[in-house]
Amino acid sequence: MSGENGSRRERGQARLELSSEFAAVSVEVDQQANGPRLRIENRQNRRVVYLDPLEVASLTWLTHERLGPFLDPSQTGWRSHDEGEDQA
Amino acid sequence: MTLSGTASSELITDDWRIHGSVYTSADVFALEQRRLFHGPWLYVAHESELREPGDYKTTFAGTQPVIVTRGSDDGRIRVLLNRCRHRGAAVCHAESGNANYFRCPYHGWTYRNSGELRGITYDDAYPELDREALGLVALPRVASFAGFIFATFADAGPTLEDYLGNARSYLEIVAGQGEAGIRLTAGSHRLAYRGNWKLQVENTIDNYHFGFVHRSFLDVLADRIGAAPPIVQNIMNNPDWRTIDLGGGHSVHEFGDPHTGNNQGQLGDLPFNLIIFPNLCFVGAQVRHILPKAADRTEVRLYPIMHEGEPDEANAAILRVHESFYGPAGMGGADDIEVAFDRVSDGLGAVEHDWLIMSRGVHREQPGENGTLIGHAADEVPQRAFYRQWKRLMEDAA
Repeated sequence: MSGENGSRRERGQARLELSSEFAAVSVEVDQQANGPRLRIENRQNRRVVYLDPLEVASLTWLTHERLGPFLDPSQTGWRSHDEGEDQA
Repeated sequence: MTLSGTASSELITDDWRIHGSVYTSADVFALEQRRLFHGPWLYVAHESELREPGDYKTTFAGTQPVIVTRGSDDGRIRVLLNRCRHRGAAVCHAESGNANYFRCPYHGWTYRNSGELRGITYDDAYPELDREALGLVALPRVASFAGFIFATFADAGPTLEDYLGNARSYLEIVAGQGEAGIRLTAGSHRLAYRGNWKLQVENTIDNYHFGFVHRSFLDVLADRIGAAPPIVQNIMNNPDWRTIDLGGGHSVHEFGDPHTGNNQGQLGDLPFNLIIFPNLCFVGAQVRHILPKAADRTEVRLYPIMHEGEPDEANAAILRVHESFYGPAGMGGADDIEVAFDRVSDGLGAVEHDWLIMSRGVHREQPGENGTLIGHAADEVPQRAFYRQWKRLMEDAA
């Protein structure tokens, strides 16, 4: 589901860029697979995640509080024992 | 508490002389931060600046940097000290934004926008840390009146409504300026000067200076309309133009009826100038938030008041009038900075006879309803209203 920078982005897709003082991401629909996926790229470290429609639909059930574990830096990009993990 | 040996009560005489050190002393400034800006309700934002969950703005409560946030999941307004609990960096830098979590730029400590510490980078180095006690520090009380959000460092004390007292009806009139209310969505422009913050408060309602400091503006206006503009005549002779000590340090100058009055000076359409103690003012078509930085350093943020429910053209016209007098290239604001702030600060360097006179019209103040004092439009009623409360708070036992 997630991985390094996807290189097969189909040209012509609308690409949205969102940034704040805390993060910068680009979002677009990816058509390289057998069905459409949402491609999200962290522009600070080039890390990419692909989400299918069911996953995106399920995100609408989230509260911001329940998303909290992903915002804990020691649970994501800043774990002490992850060698080679990109940060940000 | 004494100020280098001088009691606060000795800085203002019974015949309304103000000692120069009130404007220049670092000790006075420090005591003001404890007595005026750490207890009384302080303005921090207008509700229109925080409409969506996750919206935030950065500002100051006295000299202390704060973040005003609208909760991501609960929509509640909070005021948090903008200081990471780790090593003290300001967590938010942007003037405004939308974020459900804040991440400190120094070492990545991450907070919910409601303040709780959510996580620490490489946290295995902190096996014993009490994370629940390390959220961003929240001011204990936040309240809103007529869309204006205030906060206080005091756990107990008067409610916001009691604090605003006689000023409430004027804030309600400001809130009703537009067809469907007001919004501060045009942002702010800022001015800064090397002088005391109270000079800007005092200058907000000081009709006495208008014909002198703003002579060039009046001349331009006279060329445009082919006659002397009526504003100075109204100040000196119109009995319906009056200044009022509202109590609690608040004051107002009415251009006639407070619902329909007009300054007749192309300064903006508010029917009065209003001062909410200690550092919030309304003048022309703007909210003026005065930020003390040091005894001799001040920043002022001016927020043009946009009218909700009215066409863009009408709001553009409000901005143009505002800019023409108060803007960086306007015909009025720069004169105030030069004369009322810079020249006064220069002059206060002469300390051999270190007193200012604030007694203009004290003999003709008349009692009004609800404990108010009503005076002539060109008298120093607002200044005395301010310093009555200033003196009360500065003399309170620590």
